[in-house]
Amino acid sequence: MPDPDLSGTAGLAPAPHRLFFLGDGEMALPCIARGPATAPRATLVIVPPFAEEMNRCRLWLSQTMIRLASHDIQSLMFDLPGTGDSALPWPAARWDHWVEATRQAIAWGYKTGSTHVLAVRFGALLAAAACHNMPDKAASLILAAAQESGAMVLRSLLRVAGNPATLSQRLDAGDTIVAGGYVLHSSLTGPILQQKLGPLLDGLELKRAALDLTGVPSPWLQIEPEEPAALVESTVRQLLQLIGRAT
Amino acid sequence: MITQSHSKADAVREEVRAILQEVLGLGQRAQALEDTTLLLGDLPELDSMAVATVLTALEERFDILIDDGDITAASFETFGNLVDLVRAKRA
Repeated sequence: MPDPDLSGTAGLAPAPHRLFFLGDGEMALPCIARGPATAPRATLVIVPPFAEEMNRCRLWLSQTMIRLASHDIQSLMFDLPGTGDSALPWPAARWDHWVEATRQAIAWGYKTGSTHVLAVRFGALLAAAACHNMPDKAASLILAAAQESGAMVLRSLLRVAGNPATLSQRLDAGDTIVAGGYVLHSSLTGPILQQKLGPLLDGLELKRAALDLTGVPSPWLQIEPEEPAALVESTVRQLLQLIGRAT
Repeated sequence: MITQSHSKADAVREEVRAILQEVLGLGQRAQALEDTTLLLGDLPELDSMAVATVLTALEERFDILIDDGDITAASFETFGNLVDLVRAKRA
């Protein structure tokens, strides 16, 4: 398949964006959508990374959305309940809330047509859990630097506050701890610890792919993320190919 | 003549250098890292969040698991010590 056309003025001007909430009350999802609202070529729902990694990835993902809009692909990025502009306080967030929120975002995509899911880091666990038992199937699930388990996700965050093994024991004992500014307790971390990507992906009857991000910067690992131009270029090129094949 | 083991060892060193460069945003300063270069306390970018992120990056890039028992006060003291930590976990 030839490389998608990335030439011309595509992606140079930021596409208009729409800010809205899906649902009501504290569980309402703050969303940003870009690209054609009617008759898009396809829709991409982005399932976000966890905690600080989401902050580091936001510029990469936002620029990717702008570039996709210039190719008539609509995209949606949302804040998980308890994060970003969500009305739910972080300490009240739960894994089940996040799975349901992800389903809600994907279902929003269905209303506009062919919908693909881009799951980034921790978002891979969420997206895989969400895609089970949905009435409609996503056209594809595209993983980006997926984390293999909830244990790995939490281990990274707990390290900021001390010894992950000791802190995990405290969480198991019912203590509340703060790591990297995030309040953690077993009601949130317990279900996350149980998640493993392999079993979650088993039995998912939808097309799957993974972005090849070797050789480009990894903003989720950068304390001060650099300008992600090369990463955006690589991401957009691969997404256009994958969506072109699966649509 | 460079032996294969030395070549592999150098590859580890260069990957650790690349990780520090990327995580901490060191730019060209990363090229000046030598085994005796002081890290913790000398690189202002290396705070607790950065240490945690470096460890995560090392685990993911080298497909290793670094327990807290593997880390001593000296592990992040110098660049060479950090490289040695990775080598030991890969051994």
